[in-house]
Amino acid sequence: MALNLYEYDEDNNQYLQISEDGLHTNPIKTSHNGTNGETVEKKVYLKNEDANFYYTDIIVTSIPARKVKVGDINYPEAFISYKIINQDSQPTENQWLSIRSGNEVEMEDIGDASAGDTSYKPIWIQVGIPTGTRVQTIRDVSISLQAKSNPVGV
Amino acid sequence: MTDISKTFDVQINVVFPFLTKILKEKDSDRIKASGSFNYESVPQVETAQGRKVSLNFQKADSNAVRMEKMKSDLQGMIDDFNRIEKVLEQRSQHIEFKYDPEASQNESLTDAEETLFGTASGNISFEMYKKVLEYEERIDRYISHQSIENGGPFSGVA
Repeated sequence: MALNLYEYDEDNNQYLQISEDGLHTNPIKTSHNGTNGETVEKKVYLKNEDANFYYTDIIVTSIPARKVKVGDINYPEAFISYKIINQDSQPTENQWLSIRSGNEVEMEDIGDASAGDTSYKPIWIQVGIPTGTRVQTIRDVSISLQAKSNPVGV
Repeated sequence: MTDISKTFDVQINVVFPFLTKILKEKDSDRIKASGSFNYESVPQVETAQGRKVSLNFQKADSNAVRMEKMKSDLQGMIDDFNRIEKVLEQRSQHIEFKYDPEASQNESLTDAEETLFGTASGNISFEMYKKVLEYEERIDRYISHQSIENGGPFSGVA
């Protein structure tokens, strides 16, 4: 499978590949003020590594933290929001408000039967931490990708 | 046509608000720092100084009167010490330990701060240090409790 997710490292002017399957060697990291609550937005990129393939039916889904106490409205972690929008420019506040946490987005095909496309495809993520969240590192979150891989020229 | 499925890692760090503030405001200082204590002076609200004791007895004073004067002076000294302790505690909140999180020799310190506070800022305040001691105490209690639950001896009992 040659679709990978990248983050752009401005300091070193390079794209860094995001780790997969809970390895956490290079996850997408966000840092938040837990006492007052804070929302952080980040741009990441989806990239086809192999020009011999193109991809269709691409679905990207934000998978929020699952460690919540059902029915406990005083448990701030239950209200951590995690959203995805696929576009190049930073989404507006209204755009973020119009979607739910844990949403999925359908992306345009990457490449077609005549040629593969190995350019970086931008995706924005937004992580919101509610007021009163205790100090912690949450790794129980991820971005899920589903797609169909097709060989070029067939 | 082949179906593919992938899961990419995400990590959310929730940190102390003042730590976030330090990260935002003092990032350049943080990178330059290479491990030193930094004391940021604050306007002095109260003078942390004990009183001078001078036992001023009169010849005519009885032993009981002299004892009362000594007790009074002693109580005054105790009050002053308590006041000084509070002032020192208040001032200690402005002491920070700065280190360079990029330096290889600080790797264990970087890991420790990241594990405990979600991110390695390069600044450890006295408040954070106290928090670490508190965590340590809790962890010790937890380990001891678990040990007893698993059939281990009570602390100090052979």
